[in-house]
Amino acid sequence: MEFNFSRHGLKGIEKKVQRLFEIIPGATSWAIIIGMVILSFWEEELAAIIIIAFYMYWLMRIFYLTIFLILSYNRLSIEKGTDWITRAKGLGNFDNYLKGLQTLVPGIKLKDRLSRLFHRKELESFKKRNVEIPALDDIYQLVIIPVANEARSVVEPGIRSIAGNTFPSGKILVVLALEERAPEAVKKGIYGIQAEYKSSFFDILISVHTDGVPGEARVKGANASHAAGEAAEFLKSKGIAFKNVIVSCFDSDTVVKPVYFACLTYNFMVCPYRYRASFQPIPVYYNNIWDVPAFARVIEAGSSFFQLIEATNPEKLVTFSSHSMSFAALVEVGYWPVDMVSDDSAIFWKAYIHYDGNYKVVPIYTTVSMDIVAADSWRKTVINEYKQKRRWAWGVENFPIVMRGFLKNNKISLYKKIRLSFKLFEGHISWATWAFLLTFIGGMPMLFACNAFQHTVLYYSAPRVAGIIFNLASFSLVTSIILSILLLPPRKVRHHILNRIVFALQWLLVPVIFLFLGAIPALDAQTRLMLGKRMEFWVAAKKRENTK
Amino acid sequence: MVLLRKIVFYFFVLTYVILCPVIILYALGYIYKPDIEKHIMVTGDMHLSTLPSGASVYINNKIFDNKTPALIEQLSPGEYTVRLFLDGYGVWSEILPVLAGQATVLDKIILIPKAPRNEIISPHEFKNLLRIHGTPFVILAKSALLGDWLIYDRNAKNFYPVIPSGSPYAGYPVYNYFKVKKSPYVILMVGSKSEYKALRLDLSAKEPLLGDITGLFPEMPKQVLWDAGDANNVFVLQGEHVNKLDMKSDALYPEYIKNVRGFGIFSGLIYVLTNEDIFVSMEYNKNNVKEILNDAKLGREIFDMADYYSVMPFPNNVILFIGEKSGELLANRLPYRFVSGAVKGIALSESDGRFLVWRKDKIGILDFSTETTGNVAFEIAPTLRWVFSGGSNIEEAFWVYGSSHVLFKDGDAISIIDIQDYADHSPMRLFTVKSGSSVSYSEKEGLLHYLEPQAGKFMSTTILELQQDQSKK
Repeated sequence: MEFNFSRHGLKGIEKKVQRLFEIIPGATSWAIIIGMVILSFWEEELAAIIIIAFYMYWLMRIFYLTIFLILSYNRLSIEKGTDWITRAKGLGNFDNYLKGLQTLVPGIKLKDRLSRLFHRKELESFKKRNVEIPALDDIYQLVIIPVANEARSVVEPGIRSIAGNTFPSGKILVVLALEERAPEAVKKGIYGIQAEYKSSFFDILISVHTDGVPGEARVKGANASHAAGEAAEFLKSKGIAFKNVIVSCFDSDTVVKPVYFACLTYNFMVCPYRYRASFQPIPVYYNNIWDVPAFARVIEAGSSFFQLIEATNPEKLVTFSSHSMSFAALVEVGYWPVDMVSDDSAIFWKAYIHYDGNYKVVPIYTTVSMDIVAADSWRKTVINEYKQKRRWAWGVENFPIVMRGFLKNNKISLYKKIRLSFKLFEGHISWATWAFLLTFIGGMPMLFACNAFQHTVLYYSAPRVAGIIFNLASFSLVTSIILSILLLPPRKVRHHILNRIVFALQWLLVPVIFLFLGAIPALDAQTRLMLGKRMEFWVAAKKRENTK
Repeated sequence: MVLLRKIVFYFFVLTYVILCPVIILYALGYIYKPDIEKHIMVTGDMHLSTLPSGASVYINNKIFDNKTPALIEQLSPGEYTVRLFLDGYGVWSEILPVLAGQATVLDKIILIPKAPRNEIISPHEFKNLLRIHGTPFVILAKSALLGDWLIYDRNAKNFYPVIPSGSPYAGYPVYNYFKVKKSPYVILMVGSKSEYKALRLDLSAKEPLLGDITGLFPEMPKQVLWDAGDANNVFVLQGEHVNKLDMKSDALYPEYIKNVRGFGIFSGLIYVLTNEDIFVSMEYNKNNVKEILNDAKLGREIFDMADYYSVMPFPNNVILFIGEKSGELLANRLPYRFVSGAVKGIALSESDGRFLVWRKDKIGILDFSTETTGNVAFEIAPTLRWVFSGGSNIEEAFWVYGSSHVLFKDGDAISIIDIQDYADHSPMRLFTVKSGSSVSYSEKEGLLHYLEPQAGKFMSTTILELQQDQSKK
């Protein structure tokens, strides 16, 4: 369906619908928070009952998520040593390769056996669909790295990681998407990278995106789309078909695993709807993990966990941060939105509406590592973290556009529309309200209890019930602590066991962090959208102590 | 994974749908006890907290596992005999009701030691004790002569004389004294009614006697007031007028306010009831005069023309009046007259704003928080609830443990009453004190200071075992 995936250029009723859906998330979050505070004053008993019901819901939800966090982590660790390029090569001789997989290999580890089992099942399922597999040799990788303000020291490790991939680097085209407004030092660094690494790839292009193009905002998507357009021209000139190109849009600090492109290529090849899908790796924030304050580590570990959990639910998975997709699809949908901050998730919704709901996100079990927001001082780091989380929460800008798209599109089933819009809406509302309900508001009915409520059974039983629920929830916290330690990158020599203990203890900051760097930035973003105050893309400060 | 996720999802949905109502009902007191009742019943709780803590709880002669503070849950509605035992303390026993879905809360139970925890502070014989409420000072008199008066500092735990030895005032008998709650200043009138000296003391100073201020008192005063936070402006009632004294400059402003039938001081304002039944407030310099009552007819209905009133303004615009002759207790709230006569004293509870009112024979609680005015069909007046009657000569009463108990001196006997809901309000007699002497209670320390009845020794006894309780915690 042709749809204007933008808030601009709307007229009449469509403009009003857009505005209405911009107001709804913020209004709902505020209504929940203020409503519960008022209820805690006026109807303590009812407020206490609602709080218990909410705590129970929260407990069920985190248990549910913890189960899938564990499963997803296990899948990630099972696939840790997978030789993806061999698998991709094997697909060239599909039947023989599958036969080989169906024969038992004695003496291999359980982990490898499971990986082999998943692989075999995947291929067997694929075979039933009778879909053609593209030839590995035909596939090219296009990597777009938007750069606005990032120094060479931030970008270069990512370039090195791409060059060091098991996928032939001679078939990787890198486009460094430079903003014209970038400082001279940044530009110099980017050109330096091009000069140094050009020979390592099929090519490295530098696209320069000028500010102030009509219809564009100062957002990353505009820069990435401009770069994609230039890449399209380049590919055309080289006679490379778009359907054979997988495009990855990375953050400037993204460092990929050596197997990333091989894993991506394999998943692309065995995906029956590869031209109607995005491929989502697990983002982790380990580039500078040992150089940032504890609170920053906790919140980013939380983000990684969120993606790990989401990976188990492809039916509702939405692209986030660094992701990949068919270049043909990207061109067809008209590239990333050029006036939205949250281009990473917006591209999924844009494609979903464009293809009438026939678009999916495929989780790929490999990680891409990025920087944790960091600045020179603790205070500045907190401010930067806050701004970054607010920018992420600004993903709520998708809600009004998606709702408009759903209202307009008659080909997407009502069931799918309700499921996805509810998930999008509920995700943002819970992001902005849960921490308030769990910290401040939960205790308010007891705190403001009138004499009559103080003489009820509920007054005494509610804190006890809440205590039991929180104790049970600590199981999830312990699981998170263990997994966060297991997921840590190999330690550097100067970081000994004490650092790991500190890493575990830092999780005690969870309640504070999820309020001040979770709920409040989300509420801030929703309030801005509600009041019509737009956000432009803000470049997070990133710092590394060691770049080599 | 997708299928597994669906199965787990529906499992959790089902679990929530079943568990959530069960837990909410449990939190509201609903339980199923197949051994007692064959159906689901709504239970009640009981919350008992004692000072000192750690008492064993017996309910209907059955010991309960937890010691106080204890929450006893899932009790079937009905009445329970509750007894609390703690070594060295008298048994606390009460029949308490439990209502469905309700919690019976007695969170300020005081356990009384079997043997009073008395301590001799001074073995000397004293005739009387003068308490300065809201300060750490107690004045002790060995005789009526000022030279025999000592100050006891409860914080420093030391004694020092009111006047230095060899002072020319040592041989003067104390005729009258004026003190203000929370102020360390005392004005003493020594000598006789016709030949007197006025002395000003600062009990917190190393040498308390500040000076002879007789020149500021042309007549023997009826009432002397000042604000605890501003002792420089002193107001003296003499006859039907109020003199103002500026203690900084030793200046007397005679007949500063005339036609006075009652006055009081609060928060930088002087409140005056005039002979014309007009009630006003004004600043100390007589600026900002505000008429609070300017309805002579109503004034005559409220106030007795023949009486003089002590005016006691309090926070929340509550103003109480006690008639000097009649002892009636009036307030600026409907129905104005709360006690028709014989009131001997009142004390404000700073924890909940209630007033303790006592007469010779009764103790009551005046509660303005029950008042409902404004947009209601029927306004509800503040309530006065008598919690004890049958006293013979109640002279002093104190709020104890917040406002849960009342300690009082009836004749020579010291007693305590639990006035919490559900308590039966029977007083427990603790011990006797020297006849005709006063007592001093400090809530902060939980101590009562008194004179022992036989030899007049200065003693203290522990009413609230606060320190012990804190160390236990």
